[in-house]
Amino acid sequence: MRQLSEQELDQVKKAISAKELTSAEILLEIYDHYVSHLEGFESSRFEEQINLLDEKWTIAYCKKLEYDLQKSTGKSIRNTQWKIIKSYFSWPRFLFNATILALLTFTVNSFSFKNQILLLFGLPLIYIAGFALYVNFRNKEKLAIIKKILGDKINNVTSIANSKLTVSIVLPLHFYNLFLNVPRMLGWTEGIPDLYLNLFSIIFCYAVILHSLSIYETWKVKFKTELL
Amino acid sequence: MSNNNLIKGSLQTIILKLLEENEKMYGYEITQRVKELTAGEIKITEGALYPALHKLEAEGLLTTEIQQVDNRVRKYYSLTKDGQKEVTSKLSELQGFVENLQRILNPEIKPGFNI
Repeated sequence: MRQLSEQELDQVKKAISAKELTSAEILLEIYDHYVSHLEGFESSRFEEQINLLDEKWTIAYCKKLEYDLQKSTGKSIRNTQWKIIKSYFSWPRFLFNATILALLTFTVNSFSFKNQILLLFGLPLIYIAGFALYVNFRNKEKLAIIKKILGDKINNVTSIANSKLTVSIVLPLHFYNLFLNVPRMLGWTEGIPDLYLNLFSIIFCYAVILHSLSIYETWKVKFKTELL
Repeated sequence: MSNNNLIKGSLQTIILKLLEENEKMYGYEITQRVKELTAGEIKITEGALYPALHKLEAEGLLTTEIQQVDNRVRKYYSLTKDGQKEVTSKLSELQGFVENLQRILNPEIKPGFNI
């Protein structure tokens, strides 16, 4: 076992950058695999061994690995969040749910329409946007370490876990547009009795709150192990 | 010895078993450990190893930990609680398969024979 020279490490980085990968998860694993393997050989065999590695880690294989990881990471985040949401309906956490619903019903019946909108939709959505910014800020800190190791030979390094989690976090913002802004623009809200509008507000807001809480817990779980 | 096709079906079991014995391992270490245990007879290719590791991680059987080692960042894999439970069932599944295969290859062996 020997330490690779700076020149050799640069050559490894060059070989990896040729694979045109962007996901930090895959890049760090390939880089570690290359270096671990090459450290087991004398410097005279470096060229031969790095070529051998390049033959195994083809661009197509690396791209497939990246694509599969994207799919499995998204699935893993969704599964974790779903498990957390299900736990909200078990005793004694269910009491918390009932309290939220009671508070929402009280809010709908007690405030003017503008305040209702602000409280039911504005606050959770502001929280979601703020949380997404925070998650991305923390992710930048983690990625900085990896970018520093990989150097300037590999650009546009992003985290698959972070991209997938961000998509999940901001999901209600899309629903907000779809279910509230679009009907309003098309004038579909006119003629709908207040009772139904209020009921819809409660359900939507309740779903957004559940989503906000569960995605935060998902982030806490995944932050320990993933590049988030 | 070209046995890649034979290993394919049991790769997940091999990974789980190795991780049961060695608290945490990284990808390259797994390939080297298998090579060492089988005196080079079985070589796990990168093409099969990493997709299998990522799949087991997505299924919640493995968890990962990223650590800075020397001049790089290393991803360690270890078993989750579900993964620990899965090792036993995967091993007995593989054991059963090997027993049945043995019976096919050597019909003189009667049912109930244990390897």
